[in-house]
Amino acid sequence: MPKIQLKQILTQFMHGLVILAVLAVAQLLLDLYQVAFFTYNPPIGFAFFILAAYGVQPLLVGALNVAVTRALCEVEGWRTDFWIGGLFLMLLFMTINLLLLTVAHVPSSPAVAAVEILALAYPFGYLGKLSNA
Amino acid sequence: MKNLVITGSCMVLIVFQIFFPYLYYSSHSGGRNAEFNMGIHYVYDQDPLGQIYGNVSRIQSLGFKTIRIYLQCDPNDANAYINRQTDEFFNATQQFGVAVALGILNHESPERLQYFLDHWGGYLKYVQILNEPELSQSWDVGALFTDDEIFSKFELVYDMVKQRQLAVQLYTNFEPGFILRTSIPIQLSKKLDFVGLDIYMESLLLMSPNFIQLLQRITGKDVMITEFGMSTSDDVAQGNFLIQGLNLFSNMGLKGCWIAYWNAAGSHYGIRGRPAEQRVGDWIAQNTA
Repeated sequence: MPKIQLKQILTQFMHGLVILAVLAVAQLLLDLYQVAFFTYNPPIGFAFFILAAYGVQPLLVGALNVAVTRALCEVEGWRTDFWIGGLFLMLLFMTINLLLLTVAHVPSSPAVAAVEILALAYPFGYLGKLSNA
Repeated sequence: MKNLVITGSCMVLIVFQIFFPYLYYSSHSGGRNAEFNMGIHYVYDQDPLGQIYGNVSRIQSLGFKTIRIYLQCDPNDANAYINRQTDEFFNATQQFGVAVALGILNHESPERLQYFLDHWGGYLKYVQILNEPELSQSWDVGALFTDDEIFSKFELVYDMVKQRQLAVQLYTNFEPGFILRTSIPIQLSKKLDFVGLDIYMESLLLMSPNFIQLLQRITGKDVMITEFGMSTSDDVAQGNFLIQGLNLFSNMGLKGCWIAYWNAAGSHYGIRGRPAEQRVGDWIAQNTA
């Protein structure tokens, strides 16, 4: 019984680790290139930014969530309504970053992202599975 | 069922992201902030010459550190009434030690700007290069300036001010619509000391922390609220709105807030002689002294 529990915990931790790593890298890249997006042939760059941040990112995270769930949880078949799971995980991650910025005045950075990835891996793994099971 | 929960959670998270910054900053006092720059826009050209000195005195006694004005002068007649009003205004601000912020509107003529800076430029502490340029009207009603028009106009005014080597801080003010033309504050802020944000209406006040955070992030500059006011004949609503906003901006640790307006003929923005005057004065005494 403890072995099964440990395996389950590790599986969810790995699941969350993968999802959070992608979310954190995407967030850092969007922050890094935000000004470049905004100043690229306005308003085309602004539209691209919105598309990347709120269209492509949740789709990617959702697709990854499906793939990770399938690989780690030995789920059969592929779900096609994965986008809402990606959107949910992205919004949750953005909300945590907003809380950090507003309450603790800590803007997103690679160091913050590293701490978030480790600290939130298990709950995100759980939520990743929940939003896709 | 699970899909419904996830969908519902997404909606809750979106609403949370929109409203949380306002709710947090409104309810968490940042304590007294002696550095908070309280200012007010005074339309002195609407007052008779003899009343300008008294009004500046009254503004200063309420605790305002800065008076914002729009450029007013007549370059063709040195003795014109408006020039004497401007002289009187600067006499008073010098006397009472109040800083002056000059707002240069988007269609200001180079002749008037040159004349004003030559005569009164030395008394200024802040100069606003263009006014909400992302909204500015170009050749006709409804036609906005293109980005290129804004940048070239900005350069023209900026160069004229810079040539005089005045000891002033430069800023440009934007309104919340800047989020659709973000390239403008990004480009202009490179030559500015800080950026201004103008807030009117309850709904925009509610969203203002989001706008402020975005403006800070994309410009890398401090944000000051350079116009903040409400045009209403309801004295209580006006006072509540102003106090609500002052608490919010102070708690956010902003550089300051300039109220629009002290007086305003033809609208209900002015706080002079209304309950909001005393309420704002009391707020200044309690929070910035």
